[in-house]
Amino acid sequence: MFYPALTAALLLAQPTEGTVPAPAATHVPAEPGAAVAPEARPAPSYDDLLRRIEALEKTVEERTSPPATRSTAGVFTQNRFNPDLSIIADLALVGTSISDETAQTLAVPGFIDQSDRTGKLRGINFNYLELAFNAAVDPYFDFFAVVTVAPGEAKVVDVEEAFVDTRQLPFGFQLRIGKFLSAFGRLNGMHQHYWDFYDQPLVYEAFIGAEGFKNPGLRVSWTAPVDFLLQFNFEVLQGVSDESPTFNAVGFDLTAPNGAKFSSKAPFVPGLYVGSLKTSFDFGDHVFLAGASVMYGHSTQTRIQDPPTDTDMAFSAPGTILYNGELTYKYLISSYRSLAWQNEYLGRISNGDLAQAASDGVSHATVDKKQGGFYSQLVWRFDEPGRWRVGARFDLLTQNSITKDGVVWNPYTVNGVSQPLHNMLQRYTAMLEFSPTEFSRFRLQYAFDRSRFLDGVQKNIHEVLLQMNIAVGPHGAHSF
Amino acid sequence: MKLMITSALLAIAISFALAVPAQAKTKLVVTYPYIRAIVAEIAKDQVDVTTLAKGDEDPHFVVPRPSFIGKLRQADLLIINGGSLEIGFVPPLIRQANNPKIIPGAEGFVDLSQAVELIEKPDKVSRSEGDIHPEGNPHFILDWHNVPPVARAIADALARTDRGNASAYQKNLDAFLARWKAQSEAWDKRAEPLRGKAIIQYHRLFDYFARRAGMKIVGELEPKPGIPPTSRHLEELIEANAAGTVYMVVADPYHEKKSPEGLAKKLSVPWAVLPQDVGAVATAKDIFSLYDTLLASVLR
Repeated sequence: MFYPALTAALLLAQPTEGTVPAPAATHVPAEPGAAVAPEARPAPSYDDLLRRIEALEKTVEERTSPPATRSTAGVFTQNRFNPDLSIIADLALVGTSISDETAQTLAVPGFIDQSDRTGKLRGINFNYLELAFNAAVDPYFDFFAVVTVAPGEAKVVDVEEAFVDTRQLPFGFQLRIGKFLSAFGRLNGMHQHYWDFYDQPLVYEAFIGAEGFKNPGLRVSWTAPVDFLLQFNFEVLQGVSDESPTFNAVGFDLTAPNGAKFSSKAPFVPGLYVGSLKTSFDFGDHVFLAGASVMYGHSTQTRIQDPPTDTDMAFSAPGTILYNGELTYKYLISSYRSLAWQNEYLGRISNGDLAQAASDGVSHATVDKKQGGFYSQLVWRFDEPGRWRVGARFDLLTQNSITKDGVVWNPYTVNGVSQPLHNMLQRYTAMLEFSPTEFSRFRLQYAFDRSRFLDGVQKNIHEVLLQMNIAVGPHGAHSF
Repeated sequence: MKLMITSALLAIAISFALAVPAQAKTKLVVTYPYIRAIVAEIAKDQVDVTTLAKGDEDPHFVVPRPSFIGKLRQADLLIINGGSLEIGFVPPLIRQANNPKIIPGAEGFVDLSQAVELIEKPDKVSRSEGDIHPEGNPHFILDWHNVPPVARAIADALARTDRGNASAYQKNLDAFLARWKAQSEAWDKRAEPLRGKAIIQYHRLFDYFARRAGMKIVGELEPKPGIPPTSRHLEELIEANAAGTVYMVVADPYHEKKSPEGLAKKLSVPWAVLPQDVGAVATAKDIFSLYDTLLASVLR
C-alpha cells in the first residue's frame, strides 16, 4: 500500500543524467567493492528505478515480517480448485381465468396434445432451483453442468446439461461432448433465466417442448475468420427424449383388442442431426443477427394404454424435419438503453406410418404433417441505467396441415369425433420487468391466449403473473 | 444430411480461402480505447486493432456484439484492462470465438491489471455491498504514473506476438516513455494546486486520479457501486458536506447528469464531466490529451 508514497518520493529525488543511483537502490551487490564505476554503466532510467524500488519494497517486506510459524493442517486441501458455482432460484405468483383442472385438459389441436401447466398453476409456483457449475478440467477441456431441482416437474432433479468444451482445437473449431441444449434456433440454447418472457413462444412449446431440447451427443462448432459473425454448428445427438413433442427414436408394441400385434423396432441411434448457421452484422449501433437451423431425426409418438383399447395409436416417422429461420434487430440507443426486435419461424415436416389399434386388428395409414408458426417480439430497455424493460410478443401458429392417406385428418378428437383443423391460432403477451441489479429481477406478465381448445371449443384465456428470479454466485455474463 | 455435409465442407473451404490473405498484420483486439491509444504509440501502424468498447460507453456494461466474436476469432492478441471490469461481456465472447491463442492463460491473452498495483481491494466480498470488484478498483489507468508499466506490458506482448517488429516496438516504447516522463512531471506540477481538495464523484471511477493529484474523495453519488443515486443518499451527502469543504462534484460521460448537477447546486460548488477513457469527451483524443483534459476539467 505504500508504493504510491514511495513513487512520489522517488519523483522528487529524480537523479540527473549520469549520476549514480541512490545507495538504497543498489541492493544487489552488498560489498562496496562490487559497485560499478559510474561511467561504465548506462544512466538508470526512471523506469529502472521504479522497478528497483518495487524489488526493494518486496525485500523489506519479507525481512520485516515475523518468521512464519505456519500450520500444516491444510496442505492437501484443494478448495481453490472447486468449480465456480452459481445458484438461480425462480418463483411466480400466477392468476389465470381458467381453473387448474380445466387447464390440464386444454389442447392446441395438432400442435399440443395436453398442455403441461408447470409453472402456471394458480397461486405461488416454486419453479426451480438451478445449480450451475463450471471449471477448466485441464488445459484441454472446460466443463459446464446445470442441475435443476424443480418440485413441480416429473423429474424433480434433472441434469439439464453436463458437457465439456475443447479449449485448444485449431482453425476455429470447438467440440462439445456431453448432454447439452441443442444449438437449434435462437432460444433453444438459452437457459430459462435468460428468456425475455416467462414462457417460451408457442412454436417452441409445440415443436421443441417447454424447456428446450437437450440430449446427449456431440457438437462441432466452427467460427469463420471474418470481421462479422459467421458460425456453424453441427450436432449428432442420441435422439431419444421423453420430453420432446417431435423427436423420440424409440420402438413400440401396439396390441389391438382382438390380440393382433404390431411391433416397431427401435431405430438406429444416435439418430438426430442438427445443423445451424448464425451470422451477425453491425451498422454502427444497429446490430442484425440472423440464423437458420435444421433438426433431422426420428419421430415416434404413441398413445398406448394398458389394457389396450381401440383408440391406441402410434406414429412413426423417420426423416422428420424441424427447421427455423430467425432475425433479430437490436438498436443500441445508449450504454444502457436498447430496443430489440426478435422474430423466429419454426416449421415441422413429418411423414410416416400411423398404426391404429381397431377392434378388428391393427390398421396402417400414411400420415403427412406440415405445420409451422412464428413469434415476433419487441423488448425495450428504456431507462438509465437500464433497470427497466418492457416487452410485447405475438405468437401465431400459421400452418396446420395434416393428412391421413391423402385426406385431411385431425388426430384431436372429442368423444371420438375428429375436429376440424385450425390454424391462425394466436397468443398475445406483454411484460414489464424491473431488475434492481443484474442478479435480481421481477417481471409482471400478462397473456391473452386464444390458441387452446376445450372439448373442441376455442377458449379465451387470461393469465397474469409476477415472477421473481434471483441469481447468486459468480453467474456467467449474458450473451447477446 | 448430404446438404449439411456439403455446406459444412464448403464453409471450411471458404474459411481457408479467407484466412490465407489475413496473415499480413498482427491482429489485436483490445477492450477499451485507452489501450488502443497506447498501442498506437508503440506499434504505430504495424498492427490491426479492434476496440470493443466506445469511450463514452459505461466500461462495465459494454454490449457483447456478436460481430466481436468474428474479430476475436482472428486475433493474435487480446489485451484487456482486467480487475473484473470486463467480466460482464468478454467471457462469452472468448468462449464462442474458438481461438486458443487468446483464451485466459494463453500467451495472447494480456491482463493489464497485472502490471499495476490495485487499490481499494475489499477485505470481504459480498454483493450486499453492490457491484464490487474483488481484485480492487479496476480504474487504474486514470493515474498517469500507471501508464508506463501498462505500456511496457503492451510492448512485451506485442514483441512476443510479432517478433519481427520487436526492435521497432522497443524503440517506440523508449521514445514514448521518455515523452511520458516529461509529461508526467508537467502533470505532477500542474496538479499541485489540487492537493488536499475534496471532491464527490458519481461512481468509484476517479480514485486513482484523485490520489495522484492529492485530492480527497469525500463521497459518491451512488450509495453503493452500481446502485443509482437515491434522494436519501444525496441528502446525506449534502448534510455531511454542507460546511463548504467540497471543491467540486465530478461526473462521467455515460451516467445521467441531473443528480451531479443538482448536488453541486445544493452545495454551491462547480461540477464537471471528466473523461474516464480516451474518446469519452471530445478533447480526450489520445493518451496524452486524456490527462490534459482530466486536469483541465478540475483546475479552475
